[in-house]
Amino acid sequence: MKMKDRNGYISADASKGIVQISSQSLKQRMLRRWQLYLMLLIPLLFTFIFAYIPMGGLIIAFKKYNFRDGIFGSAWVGLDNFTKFFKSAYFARTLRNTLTLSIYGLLTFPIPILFALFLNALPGRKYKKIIQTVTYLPHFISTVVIVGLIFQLLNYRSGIYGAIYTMLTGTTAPDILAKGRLFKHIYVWSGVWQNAGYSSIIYIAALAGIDPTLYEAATIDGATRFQRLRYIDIPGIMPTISIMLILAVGHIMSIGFEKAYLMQNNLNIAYSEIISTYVYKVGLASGITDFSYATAIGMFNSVINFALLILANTISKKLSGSGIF
Amino acid sequence: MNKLKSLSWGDKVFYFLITVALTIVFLLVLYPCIFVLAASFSSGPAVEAGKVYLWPVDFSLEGYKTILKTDEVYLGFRNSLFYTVVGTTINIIVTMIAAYVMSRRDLPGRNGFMFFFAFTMFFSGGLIPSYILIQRLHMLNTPWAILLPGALGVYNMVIARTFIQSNIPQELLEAAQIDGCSDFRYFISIVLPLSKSVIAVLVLFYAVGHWNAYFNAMIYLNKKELYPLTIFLREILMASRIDPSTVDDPELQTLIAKAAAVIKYALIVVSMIPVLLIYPFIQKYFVKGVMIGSIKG
Amino acid sequence: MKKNQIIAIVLALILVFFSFAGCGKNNKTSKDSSGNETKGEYKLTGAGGPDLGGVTLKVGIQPSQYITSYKDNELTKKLEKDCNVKLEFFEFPTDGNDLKTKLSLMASSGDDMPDIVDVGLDSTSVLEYGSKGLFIPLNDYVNNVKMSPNFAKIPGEDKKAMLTAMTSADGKIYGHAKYEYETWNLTPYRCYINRKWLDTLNLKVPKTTDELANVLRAFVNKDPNGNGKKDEIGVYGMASGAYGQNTVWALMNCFIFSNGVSMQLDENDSSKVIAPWTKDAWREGLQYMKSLYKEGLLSNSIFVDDDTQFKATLNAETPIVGFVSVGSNGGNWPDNDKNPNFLQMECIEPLTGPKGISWTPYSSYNPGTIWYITSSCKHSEEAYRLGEYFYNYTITMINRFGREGYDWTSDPKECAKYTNTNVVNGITDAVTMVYRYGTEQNVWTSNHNRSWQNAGPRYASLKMNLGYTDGVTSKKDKFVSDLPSQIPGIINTKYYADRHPKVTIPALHYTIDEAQSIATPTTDITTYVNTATAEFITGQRPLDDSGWKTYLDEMKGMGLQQWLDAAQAAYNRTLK
Repeated sequence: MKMKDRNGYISADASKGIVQISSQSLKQRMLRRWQLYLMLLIPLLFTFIFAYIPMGGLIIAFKKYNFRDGIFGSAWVGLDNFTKFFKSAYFARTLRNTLTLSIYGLLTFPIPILFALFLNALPGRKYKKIIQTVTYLPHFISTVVIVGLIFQLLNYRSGIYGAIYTMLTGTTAPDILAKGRLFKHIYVWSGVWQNAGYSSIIYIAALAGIDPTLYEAATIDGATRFQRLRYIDIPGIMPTISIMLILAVGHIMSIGFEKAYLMQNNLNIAYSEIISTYVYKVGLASGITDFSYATAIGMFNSVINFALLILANTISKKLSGSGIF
Repeated sequence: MNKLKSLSWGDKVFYFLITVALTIVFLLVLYPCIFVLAASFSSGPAVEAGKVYLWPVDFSLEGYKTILKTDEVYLGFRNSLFYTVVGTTINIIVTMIAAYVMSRRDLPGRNGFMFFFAFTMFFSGGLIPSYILIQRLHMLNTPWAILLPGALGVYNMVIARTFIQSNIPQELLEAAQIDGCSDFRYFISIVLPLSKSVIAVLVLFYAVGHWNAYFNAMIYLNKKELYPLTIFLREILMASRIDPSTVDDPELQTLIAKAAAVIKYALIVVSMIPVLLIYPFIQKYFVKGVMIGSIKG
Repeated sequence: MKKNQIIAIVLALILVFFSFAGCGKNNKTSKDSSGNETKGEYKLTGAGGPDLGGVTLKVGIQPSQYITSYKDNELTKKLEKDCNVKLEFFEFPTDGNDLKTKLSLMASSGDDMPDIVDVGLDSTSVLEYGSKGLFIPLNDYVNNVKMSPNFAKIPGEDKKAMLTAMTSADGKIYGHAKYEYETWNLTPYRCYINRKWLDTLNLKVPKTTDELANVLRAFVNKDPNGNGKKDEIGVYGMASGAYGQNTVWALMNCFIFSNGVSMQLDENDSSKVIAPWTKDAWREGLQYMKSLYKEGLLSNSIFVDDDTQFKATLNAETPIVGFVSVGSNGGNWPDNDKNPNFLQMECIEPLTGPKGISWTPYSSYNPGTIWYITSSCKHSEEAYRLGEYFYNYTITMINRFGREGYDWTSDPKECAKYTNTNVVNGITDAVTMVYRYGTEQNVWTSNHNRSWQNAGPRYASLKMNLGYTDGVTSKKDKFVSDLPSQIPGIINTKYYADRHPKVTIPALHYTIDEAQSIATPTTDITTYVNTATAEFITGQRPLDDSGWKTYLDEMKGMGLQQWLDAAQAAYNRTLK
């Protein structure tokens, strides 16, 4: 007797075992979803052509690439490009600084979420709109301008920081831009200042998708706004939060180059030299664009990023049952 | 709103606290915007000497006047607009298709495909093979080099997939299938209309990405007629700083830097206007209650 | 199932990649200067330019934001007419690094290059592109007088310098030279002291480091700006400055001749290359500045401020700067002739250290190269001759200053009506060229289409340069010969231009291997020395014997000897 369910036929022949059932259902399941596979062809094609085909070029990380000999003709040097990087006097330091800034930045992850939650709870509609529009703007001001602003504001003599300090204590303010140890705080918090508004947009959109009947039910039960925030808002956007966190962890090594480079000075370089700024300087010093070296470093970063992503994804699946894959 | 009268004491405190917190944040964040605006109306030397804080110093419209006379600005603006609109459209189509298909838990091999996509977020061949590919496809120096390569942003696709999975219930799919709805029709008639919020977010992310993009245009395009505004903006920003490694006459360079300082901020303001306009526009798509009535009955 | 999928994908990827990447990479053989035209017949047109037979040449340029059009451009039209040639343009990115990236990418993919790359590149890049066949060698063309009539006319010393600059480490010439000899840019560490404060405190201009220390003490403690606040800064500067603003390097020259973190020659044995920052004399300089810092006479903002902060401090409402070194006075003190802060400063001679040493940082003039001819060029002789035409006086002036007779003139009758600081002070005998002659517009800060903004080969001798003058301000009858902004120029010629050892290290041309092997050491050591200098001076790093030893040992570990060896090898090549 053959029974039909949504996923295909189920063989009633018990002697053939479960395996038989699954394989028949699988082929049939795939066939039933033919439209999905057809639709998937488009993004698959894009990805294959523009992302996978060039990926073969990663091989130049193991070669000494020059344009005359091309990707395949250039000499094989094995791990030389990597050891060149690892052996440099500053390798450990740049790695440490990169990770410090990244992880510190990651710790400020909840801020855009809180911002979105509060904004969502704000009663006045017009005011909410104004705040939303303004707070996402600084993200678009170029790094050069933002860094110049930071210097201007934090100047211990003529900046607002210096002026307020002198006003309050009567003495000249200490030069915080000269103190390397403070670099990470200035770097990370200025990043929050610039980007929190923009980063919160995804959470605002997610909050908008929460079923309003849940709120109605809660209000009827006598829940305060704060309780509604705790028991409805937060769980409601938890899938978004966990995905964003996984993605953030997977980009730990991808800290931007420009901002650190502009904020470096002779007294904070021990804390402000990160992998990307260092690689840039070495590239400049050698005169010619060393694609092999840059590719090797990129690969190094990618491997770490990817490993962390797998880790985060696995943890997420264990804890909440869902992840990226 | 009679709601105010019926607020509990706890709620009032809560609202007060968050209003204060948000207002402080608002003012702190507003500052750089005010600064840029003030600087754009100040004279070049005043800006260069760090004299501008909250209001224009040595008020001058020089920056704006120069910009309005420069052809590159109009050209760049028009091109950026084109790339943004067309590029974002392509992005949305490709991303939503991928996000929808990936959201279907009943698709065999789903995790494998997801890995296939996600892998590309981390590993890329780099500049050289990408350049060679674009060249072999005869896309060099054409708008396609800007519009096609980044068509699927996997990061954004993951976000969209998460949204679809958590906001569009499985029951809806089952009900539709019972009614004989095909996978494709389900996508067009049900998933897309219910995804307005996330589509709005994607539009924002992609549009912003296109508007700010500089690198691909720099390496793949050779004609001024095709350059987006960012190329010109970068030219100005570079000119206003002296780069010791490339300059044979620093004294001359200093002169040029002074002139560039004049239009730097005005140009930044001008290039931020579309970005400022887009958000209120998409905001209305962050709609509550899209799901009301969809499952009842 | 997942595993199989992945394997299948990887296989497909490898197959596809091999298929497309393997196909036809253009084999770039080095195209030699054995031309494709009738040899020996290098005609001139009626206008005096090389007759190029009406060919079309594509010129690669970094567009200047001020040039409204290169195609519809006066210089372009003149060249097309004078040389019987058609010109097309290819635009490169404005940023130097972006440009090199793009050049490399185009070379990698066999993409169509423009015929000519009219952008200045550093010697290592030129060697890389040239030796690998992207640029063709031009030695035969250069040596052929019929092909290089203008170059042949250049006087001996100047031509020698140009040839040295044009010749790469492999002995080949890949481009033309850009020779604009000016002494102003060679000694940019010009010292300024606050004259008003000296007068207020009844002090003399300091001539030695000890005298400077005394003056600084008075500056910082006696409130010469009279506002009741102890806000005066003694020594100020900007370590990250690109043009003479790192006062530390200026003061270091009271102890040892040096130019920041760059190799120099041993003062006692000019065949030996040394690293000045490892010498005891350098340490003495650090000790001097450290003592200044300890007394509060040297500001640590030198090591922190960016360009905007630097200018803001120099131009503060109430003047607070006592002593600083800068290259450009007009750039750092806007509107300098009327700027109250600038008017208080006086440009003084370099100071003398306790051991009688009194130098200023100096790098010998190193002309750049430009106008490289790519291997895709089908008319290399024509391309070469077109570039060579830029050595012609009129063309080189047009490219730099604009339209003849309007933006500038060299008509002796007109020039006689003008004068300049150098003439007045006897440094040169006559004005050779007046710019801003028929117009007040400055071609370097206004939109126009009358030149290529100096993108091209150039020959301008020192004598020519000394004779330039600004038409708007320099008519003989109204010329003010001692404007505050001009005095530093005189001081520079008198006291700075020759203030260096007789033999100094020339520009070094490294081979590719040398350049790549020292890339990491130079980066590491430069960063290290800059940081250590700041730390020594501010006391964060001990300058005692063990501290100094640690400093030297760490640099040994970074490959200092490798750098020294490469520099010595490159230097030895210049001695041959």
